[in-house]
Amino acid sequence: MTAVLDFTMGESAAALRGRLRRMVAEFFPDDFLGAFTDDPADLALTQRFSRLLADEGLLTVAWPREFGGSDGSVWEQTVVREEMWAYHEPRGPQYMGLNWVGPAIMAYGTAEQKAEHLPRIATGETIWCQGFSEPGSGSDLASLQTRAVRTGDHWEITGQKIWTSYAGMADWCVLAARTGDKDSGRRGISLFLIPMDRPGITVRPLRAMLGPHHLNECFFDSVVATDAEVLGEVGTGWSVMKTALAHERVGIARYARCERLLWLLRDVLRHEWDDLDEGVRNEWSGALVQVRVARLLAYRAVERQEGNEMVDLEASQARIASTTCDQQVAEVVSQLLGPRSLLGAAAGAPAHGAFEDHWRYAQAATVASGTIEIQREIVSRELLGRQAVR
Amino acid sequence: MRIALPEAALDFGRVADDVLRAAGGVDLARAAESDPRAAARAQECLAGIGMYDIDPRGCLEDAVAAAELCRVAGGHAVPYPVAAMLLRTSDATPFALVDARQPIIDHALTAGTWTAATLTGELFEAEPDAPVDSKVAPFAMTVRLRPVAGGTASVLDRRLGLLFGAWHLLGFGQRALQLAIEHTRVREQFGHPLSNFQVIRHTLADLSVGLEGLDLLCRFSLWSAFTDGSPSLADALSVRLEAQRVVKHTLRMAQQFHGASGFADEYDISVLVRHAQPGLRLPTDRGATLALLRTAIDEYGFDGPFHAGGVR
Repeated sequence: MTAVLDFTMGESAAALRGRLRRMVAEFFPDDFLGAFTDDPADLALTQRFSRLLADEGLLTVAWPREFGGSDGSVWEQTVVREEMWAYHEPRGPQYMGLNWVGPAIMAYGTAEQKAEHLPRIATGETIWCQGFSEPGSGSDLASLQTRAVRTGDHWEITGQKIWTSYAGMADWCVLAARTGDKDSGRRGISLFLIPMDRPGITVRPLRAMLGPHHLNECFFDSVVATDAEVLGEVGTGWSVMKTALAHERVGIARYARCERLLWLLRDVLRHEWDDLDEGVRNEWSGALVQVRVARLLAYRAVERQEGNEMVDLEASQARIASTTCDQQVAEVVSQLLGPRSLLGAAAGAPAHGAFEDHWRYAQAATVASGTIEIQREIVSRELLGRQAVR
Repeated sequence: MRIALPEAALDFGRVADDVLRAAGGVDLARAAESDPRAAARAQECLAGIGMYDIDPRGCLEDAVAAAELCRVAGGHAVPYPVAAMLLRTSDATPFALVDARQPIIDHALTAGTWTAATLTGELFEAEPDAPVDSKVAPFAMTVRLRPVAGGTASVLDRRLGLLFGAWHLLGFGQRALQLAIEHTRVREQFGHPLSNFQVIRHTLADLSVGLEGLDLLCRFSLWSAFTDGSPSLADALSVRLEAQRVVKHTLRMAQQFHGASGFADEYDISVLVRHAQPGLRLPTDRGATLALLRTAIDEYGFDGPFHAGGVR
């Protein structure tokens, strides 16, 4: 008999959570804050951990068996997303390949593209970046101007991408370029799978509050691409990108790191907790409620996805809650830490700088992978177009 | 994981909604301010759809039906203490949570004697004393409390009192958002419907996020009320806190979007804003709820079922 309501994820998902936590605890030092630091050893560590996950069959839990995955349930996939984000994404830059580049190649790629790319993503061997945003095309992504021109039997791609995460370390790029005329909008965009060492590509890192490696500019100067490197049909890039961005919206389990950090803070401040301002301690409790709300909204989007229902509205609502929760938690944590919130890791920051790191990342939460304003547009269009159906 | 409400509960909610709408919807609440027969009509409607057959303490299935009825009743500002009667302690003795220092009960005249409890479990008999005489609480009365010797309100009763109150507020909030959407779609200023203005669209989007989140938290905490064996009220208090935050803001913004009409009682939003106030403020205001929540989390934690399988 089906339960009236049930908020447990099942035994296999719970066991997976425990297993992942043990692996992270055994593999990473306490001061690990992700791959994107000044110390190249951190990136190398995430690469080794990704291979370990691959060896254990855990890197591609979400993938179908035919492509080297484990056919994991959506709740097992959710557990992986939560645990990885909670512990500063110990898969490092593998996140992008696993979460959407691989699935996009499965859905739209040729047999040759699948054979070339999927095994290497599944084993954590290659790093991917995503060439979408341009200086003139942020939220208005469909206005992108990077051109792919047909020249003989190949394409020549010229243009500039910006805010490209991991570009400096990536082996491959999913590059969005205009193959239609300049006014072709969404219908004139195609995606190319391009190796980053191809002649004509220049990467320039951008100094940013997120730390090194995160933001880059990429210049494409008559970069050659073949027909075999087009993902999907020419001119269908927009629909692939839309699918990719839908994955992104429910892909990052920000609430998981928020919750871990709130409790970590409580532990760090345990000797002075009762003497801290009562109002701020109350807000700490309120922040835990917002974290739970963000979690439940994400679960609802996952449940709808599981039922193959349209999830535009739910995914955007989940993302709005998750990103604003990230910033609320960052603020509560800063208030509880007081001046100590300004200390960086080298200056003896609490929890090796995890809170300072989170505050910086949280500022970008409402911009990265689609601004909160775009999410609000999606939600309001649904609301005004139809009354919510319960 | 099962987040969606069962079809039977949704059906029950739809039937209740149809019946209450046919009886006048918010007009019943409007009428009840001057005519006690409106409350009696509301009671007849609720009895007709089987409200008195629900045993919300008995099992989660019945509790879900009861909660859904509270939500639907909130959407019409039904002038009857639905949650209190669902949790009645005898045929004619409704149950309400109170602040023992300033005991006030909404719709207190429904019964001559009430069972009242504080959030810490002190148990009382309560008798209506005097109307609070306020436009924002037209049916609320101060009550006289008599302690019940040796009596303690059960954890489940206190959880359900908080939860049904939150579901009731959810109904107010959902209806307010619906009214705001309808109004901003048709009301034109500067040659455009209000909903063409981005600041309005984006506010509507944020309100919907708040209400959807509250809806899910309501479901989660109702499930938790029957599955969490500890004496913690943290989950139930968290829903009350979120209901106070979200519904108060939703009502405020929905009223704002109605312009001056929002304060005229011929518009439903004005009635909803006023009649929601007792539920928003009794038995605890947001600050008191938050302080109680922190104490409960200090004592019992707030993990939920989401961390099974390993240490944090």
